[in-house]
Amino acid sequence: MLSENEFIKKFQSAKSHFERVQIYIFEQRYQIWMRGDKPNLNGNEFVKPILNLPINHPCIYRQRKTGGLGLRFIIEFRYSVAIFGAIKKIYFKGYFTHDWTLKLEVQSLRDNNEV
Amino acid sequence: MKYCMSCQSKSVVFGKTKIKVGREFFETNAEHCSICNKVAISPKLQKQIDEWALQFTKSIIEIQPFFSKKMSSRIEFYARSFNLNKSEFMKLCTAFYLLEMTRLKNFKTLRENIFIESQKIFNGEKSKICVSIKYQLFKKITLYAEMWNLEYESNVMEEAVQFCIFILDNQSGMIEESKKIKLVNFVEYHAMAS
Repeated sequence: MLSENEFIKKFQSAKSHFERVQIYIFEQRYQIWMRGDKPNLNGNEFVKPILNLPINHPCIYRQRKTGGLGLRFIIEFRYSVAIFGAIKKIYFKGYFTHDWTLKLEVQSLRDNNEV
Repeated sequence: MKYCMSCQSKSVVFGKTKIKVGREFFETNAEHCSICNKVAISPKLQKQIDEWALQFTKSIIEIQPFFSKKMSSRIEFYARSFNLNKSEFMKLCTAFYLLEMTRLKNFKTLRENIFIESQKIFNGEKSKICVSIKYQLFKKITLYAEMWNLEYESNVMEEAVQFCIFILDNQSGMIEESKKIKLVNFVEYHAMAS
């Protein structure tokens, strides 16, 4: 794990926000927003594949209206996860907080439930 | 207070909250929404949940798969032949299915074909069997249910047991003998150690 200073340097030298997402995930500086009554106990299995995506993976940026202090935009993108012989489309939504954490939500997409 | 990422209400607080794990509750201090009950779970918190759940010597949840009479009698027959009780045998079948069978290249096709064939053989009225499971298996089962869009955890066990009984019976010749040997070895090793 990188020290706080090393992490900030890496964050600043990243070429895109998507690459920053990958750094946060690699450094385990993320929090997944999930249901308390039925949490996904395998949350990390759903974010790990992000590390294998190219740094120019297409993303959408929107102005952020929710959450606390941090960068004022939300980053959104889609990707696929393959586990147990099944492939699932995932929708990712996250933002960078002021305390160097990535707050995110991952939702699985069914074919008739596109976000 | 902050706005919630999900329900968009201004109700996110940091404090005591409960996270449901099986039939138990893990209590912790974390950021959560007091309206929609969403919680921010970090890898560190997940690790704490894992460590806490693994301390349970008893099961973390009881699942209730439904099987037809024909299937139940096959389960009983194989459980007895491996010197296991029905519940242990079904758990071993589930573990084997999730850890070994899902790795096969043709798993998707095999799963579909076996499901169709099994429905023909093991039809009839179904009744439930209660099976207590521990955290490690529960975690894998929930992941499989999520990936294959299965509504209940018990559906995973139904599928796994059906698949394994089909391999053991192998009347249709659809399954290579090597898979049967692998399954028999897997169950025998674990039965020996249990």
